[in-house]
This record gives sequence, structure tokens and C-alpha cells, in this order.
Amino acid sequence: MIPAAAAFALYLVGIVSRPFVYAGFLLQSGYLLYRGALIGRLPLVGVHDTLNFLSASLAGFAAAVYITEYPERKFLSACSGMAALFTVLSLLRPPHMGPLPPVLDTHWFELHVALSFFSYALFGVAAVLGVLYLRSPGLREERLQYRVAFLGYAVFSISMIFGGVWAHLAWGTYWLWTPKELWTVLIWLYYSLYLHARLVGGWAGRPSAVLGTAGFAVVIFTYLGVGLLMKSSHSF
Amino acid sequence: MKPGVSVLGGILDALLSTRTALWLLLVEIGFFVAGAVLMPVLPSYGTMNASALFYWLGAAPLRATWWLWGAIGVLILLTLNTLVCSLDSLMRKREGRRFLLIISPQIIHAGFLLLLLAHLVSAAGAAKQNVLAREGSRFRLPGETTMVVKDVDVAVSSEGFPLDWRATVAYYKAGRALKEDVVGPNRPSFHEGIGVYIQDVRPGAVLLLLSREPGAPWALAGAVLFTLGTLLLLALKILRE
Repeated sequence: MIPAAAAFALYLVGIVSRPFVYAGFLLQSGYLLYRGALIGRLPLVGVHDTLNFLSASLAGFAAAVYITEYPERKFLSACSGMAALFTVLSLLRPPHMGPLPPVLDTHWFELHVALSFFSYALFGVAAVLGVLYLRSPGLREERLQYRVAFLGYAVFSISMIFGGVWAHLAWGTYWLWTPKELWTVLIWLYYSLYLHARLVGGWAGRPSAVLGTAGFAVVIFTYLGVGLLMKSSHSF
Repeated sequence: MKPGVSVLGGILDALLSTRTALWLLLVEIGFFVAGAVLMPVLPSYGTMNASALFYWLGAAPLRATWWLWGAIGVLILLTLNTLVCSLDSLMRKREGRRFLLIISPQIIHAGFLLLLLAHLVSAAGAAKQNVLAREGSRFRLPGETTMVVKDVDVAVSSEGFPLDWRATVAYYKAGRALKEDVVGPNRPSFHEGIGVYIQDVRPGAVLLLLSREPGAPWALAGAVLFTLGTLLLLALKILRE
């Protein structure tokens, strides 16, 4: 828990000073590696581990976009603030330490969950770019939001393949009718809507940027809201 | 122009429009949100995963299923919209220079249609049956095959938490041994389209699920095609910039 608290502090300072974002990312990644070594698998079970995984992924993707494509201070600051928020939320729940249910002990599960959180993080970065575009419209932010969200969509699709294969091997069906699965399809439909909206007059520009930004709220509700509130194969 | 021809032209124009796809997606999202809200509160959904979807739809009350009927209706329209748009795109732009850029969205669309086909096939033809078996139990499967549960093995932690489990099953036909398989977590046994899964275990006994999911190969093919098309289109768009 202490490294996660330290990562939170680093991300918080990272809002005003860039090197602290990198330090927070490195510390949080190290913490996740340590957790992985401790439990002998990727730390992807429970709210504590998954929120740290989401935070580190978000900070990592934000840093990559900042370094390679979009060296704007306000962008990295906003992403650092978001990473800090998810990290402090992770401190509200203890890390999962018990034995893993046998059905989760498979690489299909690890790939499914890891890629899901990578895509969530990409959707988060796209949302930040969307907010920056809406505050001062520029072609660069809008294009970058589209590319990052599109990459998130591709990664999300791959995670759904792995999830389907895993479900078929574990429960005898690639699809279960539960609220979580419905919300997962909602994310997919929603970002399909966003990707198509950019092509149509009247929807391109601000409306599609709003869709790409609001999509992250759907993602977070699917992850935390549905996971915590509704009973399904994805319950925490 | 005759009124009938102009109506047909209007329908074709609507089906050719990406704007139609947007509105259909919006309505579909609305139906799915309604379903996600209703699902945890209505008892009818307790049996939804126990049988083929169309069988459940026929038996469940309309106040629980209206959103799903609506979603299926919208999916039919989306299928038509996707087919017409894809055909139109392929017919209009045949120049070789941008071939991959033109074909990649159509690969995504083909993947989407295969996924829908998979759900349709499973919704009509899926079957599930639970079987409680003790070591030595014998069951008749479709196709005159008999399955025997030879042994059940459960590993339990010192706190009583099940760590692993295994059941050895053997298949026979007309008294002749066909094959022997081990079923465990994430490790079903497949025989002639039927998957055998362990749902629960007790020392010496096991709750098995016999499942037929005829849409699974179509779903895998559709998902792979969808993702390949998405990755191809993404790479082309990034390279073009």
C-alpha cells in the first residue's frame, strides 16, 4: 500500500512538474511488478490492483503521447491528475492476497483483463485530448483524440476475443447475458458510434469530440459501477 | 416518378447513409442501457443463460424482453445498413492505389456480420444441461455415445479452499472405447460438438455442464476478422498521416 500512496503523491506533484509523472509511473510499475512476484501472476484481481494497473497504464500512455506527439504541459498535467485520482481510490481497498480461484488461473484471463485496462487507459487519454479540444478547438487535438481512441478500440476488441475464448473454455459459452457483458457491448457500440460520427457532416468536430470524451464515463461506470454494484462473472 | 419507386429510392438512400448507422447505434445503445438496468431487478433473467436465447425469449414475459426484441430489430436494420454500405463502397471505389484503405472497413463490417451470425446460430441452436455425477456414473450423449465419469479429484487448501479439481471422463460407442479425457478448470472436454465442463465439485462427485454452442467458431472467425480489419485501418490511417 505504501508504494501506491507514494505514487499518488508523485502524480499529484506531477500536475505541476513533469518529471514527477515519470517517477510516479516508474514507482507504480515497480509496485505492480512486486505484487506480481509476490502472488505469482499478473496483479489483476480486485479493485486495488486493477486501479493501480489502470493508473500506471494511463500515465504510461500519456507519457508516450506527450513525448512522441503532443508535448503540451496541460495535457500531461491533466493525465497526471487522473492517474492520481485512480491511485488514491485504490488505497480505499486492500490488495487481494488469497489464493486465486482456479477459473482465473489462465493466461486467457490475464490477457483479457490486461488488455481491457490498456484500452480503458487509452480511452482516458483520448478523453483528456477531447476536453483540451473542446476548450480550444484545434485540428491536432481532435485528430490525436481520434487516433488514441481508435487504438483503444482495437485493443478493446482484442481483449474481447480473449475474454470470449476464456468464457468458452471456462463456462461453455463465449457470451453470458449479465449486466457487465451488456455494458461491455455498450462501450463497443458507443465507440463505434464515435468513430463513425467523425465521418458525417453535423456530427464531426465538437459533437464527436464530446462523444469521445463522454465515452470515458461509460468506461468507468462499466469498470467500477457495474463491477461493484451488480452481480456478474466480473464482480469484484 | 411513381410513388412506389420514390419510396424504394428513399429506403435505399437511408440504408446507404452513415447517418442512418449513427441513429441506429444510438437507439441500440438505448435498448442495451434499458436491458442492463432491467436485468438485475427482474426475476425472469435468472434462467436466461440456461437455454438457447430464442427459447428463453419465447417463454419470458414481454415486460422483461421488450428491449431485447427492440435490440434485435435494430440489429436487423444495422445488418442491412452495413451490407448496403459495404457493397456500395466496394462497387464505387475500385482503384488499386487505395485498395487496402477501402477494403479494411469492409473487413471490419464482415467481422461484425459474422459475429451477428454467430449469435443468431447460438440463439437458435445452443443447448445446456446440468448433470450431477459420482465416480463411475454413466450418461447417454447424442449420437449413441456414452460418457463415463471414471474419477474425480479435488485439491483443497488447509483453509478448505478448493485449489484445483479434475475429473476423468471416457467416451464409448457401441461398447467400444473412443477416448479418455481430463476435465478441469478452463479445460473442457469436447466430443462431437458437445463440451463437457465442471461447474462444481465435491469429493467423489461433480456437477457437470454439457454445452453445445454452435455459434462459437463463427464468433471466433468474426472477432478475428473484425480485429484484423481494425488494426489494418488504424495502421493505414497512421501511416497516411
